[in-house]
Amino acid sequence: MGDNMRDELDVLVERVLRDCVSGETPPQRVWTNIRLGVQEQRGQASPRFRHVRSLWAEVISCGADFVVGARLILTPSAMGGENGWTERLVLAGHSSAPPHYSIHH
Amino acid sequence: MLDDVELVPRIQEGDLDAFETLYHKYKNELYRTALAITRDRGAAEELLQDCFLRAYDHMDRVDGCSSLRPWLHRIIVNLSYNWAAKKRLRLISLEDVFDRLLVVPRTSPERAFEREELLLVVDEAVRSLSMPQRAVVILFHLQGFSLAEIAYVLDCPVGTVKSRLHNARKALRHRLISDSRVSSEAAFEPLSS
Repeated sequence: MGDNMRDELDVLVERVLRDCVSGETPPQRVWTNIRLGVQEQRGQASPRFRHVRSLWAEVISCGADFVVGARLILTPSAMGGENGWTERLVLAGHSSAPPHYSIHH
Repeated sequence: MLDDVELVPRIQEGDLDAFETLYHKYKNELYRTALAITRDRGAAEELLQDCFLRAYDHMDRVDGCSSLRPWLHRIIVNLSYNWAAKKRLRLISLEDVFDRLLVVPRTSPERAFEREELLLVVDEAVRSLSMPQRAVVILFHLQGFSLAEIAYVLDCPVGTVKSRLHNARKALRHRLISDSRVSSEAAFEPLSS
């Protein structure tokens, strides 16, 4: 078996392999599935992101509630007028409300 | 057609159109590599799909300085290896089913019987190779990769690629010569197209 024979064997093998798969193309559904898979991969990340976002929204909302609550407590109430410690707190900057704001004004 | 070097950064930024361009650029040759290894169209489809999903998943690790062709082949050959290993385990007793799923070489009826017979024998001989030898033969003869590229795809030294190719040729030659359907003279006559 000489080199020529080996070369011819190579040609044969190439020919057979090319014949086997020539004209073979993947169907369109392969790309459709890949696209869906990629979107799913992206979607797996976004719920986590959404969760973090909703957590932040919760924190901000709680903060806002706290501020509103603090203002209601620390500013002069409808019943009581002003007392010493609430006034001090308001004046110390714990509320952005005017220090003498009340619904009676 | 855009170059891989241009496509990679766009894909890394999440551009799905760029990824689709990459898919259409390589889909046929990757599909044919998987098909040549597995001889199963359904499996080749699945492997192509998995290959691109993995590629997308790992795209952030690609430096984008060179062609993605060897890297994509590396993924699909690895997936084909895994597929073959699983199939051997599951379908060892279903050899006949496997045979029916094999891709029949596309030969036209006008072709001479002898040549069809010869091609069939060569095809069987290629199929009879071990998976590592078959992969080397397919990457070398079908896809035209260099020995160094095959070494990268298969993650082994160039010397290993050379010896696998040498042993594959030896096995093919032996198989062809010992096959009663083909005389050695007929086997090595030049093929007319």
